[in-house]
Amino acid sequence: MNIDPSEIIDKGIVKGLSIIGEKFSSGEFFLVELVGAAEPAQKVVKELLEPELKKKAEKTKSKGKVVIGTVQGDIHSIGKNIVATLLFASGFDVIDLGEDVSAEAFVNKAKEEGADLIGASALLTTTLPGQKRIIEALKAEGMRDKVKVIFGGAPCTPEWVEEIGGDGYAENAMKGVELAKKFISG
Amino acid sequence: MHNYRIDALSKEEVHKIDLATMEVLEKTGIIVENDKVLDLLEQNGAKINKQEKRVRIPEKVLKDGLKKVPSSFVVYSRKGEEVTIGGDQTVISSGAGASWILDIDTGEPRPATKKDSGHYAKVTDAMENFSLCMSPIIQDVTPSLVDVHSAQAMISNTTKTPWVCPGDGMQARYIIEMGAVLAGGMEEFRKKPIILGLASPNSPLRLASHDLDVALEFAGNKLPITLINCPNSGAAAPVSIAGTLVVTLAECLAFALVAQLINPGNAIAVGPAPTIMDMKTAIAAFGAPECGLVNAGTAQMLRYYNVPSFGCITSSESILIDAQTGYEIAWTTQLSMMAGVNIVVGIGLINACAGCSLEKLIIDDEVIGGIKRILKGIEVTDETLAVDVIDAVGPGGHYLAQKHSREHLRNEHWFPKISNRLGLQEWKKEKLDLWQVARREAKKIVESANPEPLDKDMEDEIAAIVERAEKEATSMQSG
Repeated sequence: MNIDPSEIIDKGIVKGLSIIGEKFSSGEFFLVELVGAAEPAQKVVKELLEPELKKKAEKTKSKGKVVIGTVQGDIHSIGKNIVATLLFASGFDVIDLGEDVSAEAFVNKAKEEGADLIGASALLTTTLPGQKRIIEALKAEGMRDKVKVIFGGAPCTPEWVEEIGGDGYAENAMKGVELAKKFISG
Repeated sequence: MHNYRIDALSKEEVHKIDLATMEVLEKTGIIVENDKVLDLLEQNGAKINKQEKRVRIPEKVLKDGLKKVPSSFVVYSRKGEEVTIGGDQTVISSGAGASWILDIDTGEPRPATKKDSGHYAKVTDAMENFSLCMSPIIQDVTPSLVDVHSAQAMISNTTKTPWVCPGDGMQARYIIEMGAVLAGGMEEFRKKPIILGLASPNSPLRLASHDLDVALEFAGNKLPITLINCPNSGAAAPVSIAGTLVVTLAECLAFALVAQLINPGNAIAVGPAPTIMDMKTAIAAFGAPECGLVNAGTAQMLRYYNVPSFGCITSSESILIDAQTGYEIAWTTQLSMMAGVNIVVGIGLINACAGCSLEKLIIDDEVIGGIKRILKGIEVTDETLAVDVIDAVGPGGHYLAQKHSREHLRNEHWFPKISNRLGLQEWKKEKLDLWQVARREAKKIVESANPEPLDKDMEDEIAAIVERAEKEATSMQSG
């Protein structure tokens, strides 16, 4: 068929996912439809279309670049996975570092990729300080003003995020996407 | 397990309660305040003391009568939808008997009006889980025509089957006329009952004259008739639950026999509004856990007799919409539905059925929705065991993107409409409690246009019936 990969992304995948997103917002669809559509779409883009684009030296158009992961010592990744998938579905370029990610790894990757945003979740009170360490590491690298940071996870609160100097608190996956859009388009 | 059901009584206990009930009806008997019905009972083998209007019913006479009771029957909505009452079905009705309502704007209790009855019907109409509609006792109309006026308010505001409780034979006649208008003639009304009637005895062991008049109007016209009794445990029935069951069944079964003697094969449903006498305040408590037991026991016994059952079991003693309202509904309603009662009524009622609330109709719909999910039980098939899916996802993965999740979600998970499932930060935006959420929903419904307004000609004919009733009531007063 020889269709341009960027056209597949723009006119096919992005359009399809935005319809799913609207139906989710209206209450017709649930998380299983949203993630069920976004996850395979993400796989197709990462594994099939991006390599093609690289060959042509084209860049993927995106709303912005997000580095995401769970903090050091924390292996609770389902919430983070949902956020990553939904960010992708909303047109972000998502670099998922997975789970148990050190503050340095977050910062190095953000620097290397020129990321606009870092998202880090912690599900345990014992791993929550990992979020604070990300802010400290960004400051140490002189990058704090170059990247926005969103935190989430069960023990995380807006008060905590304010205390450690983060930019936003995401109570749930949808809120995370909303904040990302607000920070990056603004 | 599918259709998750429980039996409150063992087989041996069922047998004992049956024997005790038969003994009470045969030895103690029951008062029947209607000569025509007394004659019918005598002709069919019951022993009559005409002076005392007391009837002693031998077991064989009763059981022969019960054999004629249809184990289920169908009533219809104004749109022609079928509502099956009996068998293994459970249908839900908003409740009657409240003389006051929690004002939807102020939250304060005030006398219920005809307009409120219309709103009550409108909200009942909008609720997914309700099939039948009752009315509060409205306070702003001619007192002797409360039931005629509330029938009109219900008919105009819901397509669901109005379940009317005429206080006397005259009101029953006018309401039956309304039914004939809605159905398109008396013969059609008989074929497709579009209004359901209710009578109530005076516990203990007394079928009162006005209620027998109502029964004679409905069963005499071959229309379904239901009977509610109010065995107030400790006052109008023994303080023991088993004894309360015996009095309840004696009254319900005697009425069932009467309906079959008036018209053999007449569709009926019977059941209690079980209460316990609160021995500190003398209030008849509807939300007590014992009421759930009485209802569960009655439902099981009536299933044994093959008679469709109901129970007024969703009221609470609380005045406001609060935690007590919630737990009392849950105690009695879940138990009764698990016991397989055929009609759950009492939805919308508070403070021992003296008050009602539009918000509570909305909350009760939510409670019933959750109970229905519980009753559906756990489906165990190769497909639901999902071994292949578990293998495909593997350790550490997630199930959100699985086709299996999309295919089974709507059948496996129930979706609440008003329960809070927001996290703290989202909730903080409005800070609403359940009463406020329900009020917002109720207001939306009340303020929206009537989805299925009554045909203008029918509306006029119904209004003309009300007018004639008013004239008769006036002439009776002056005469």
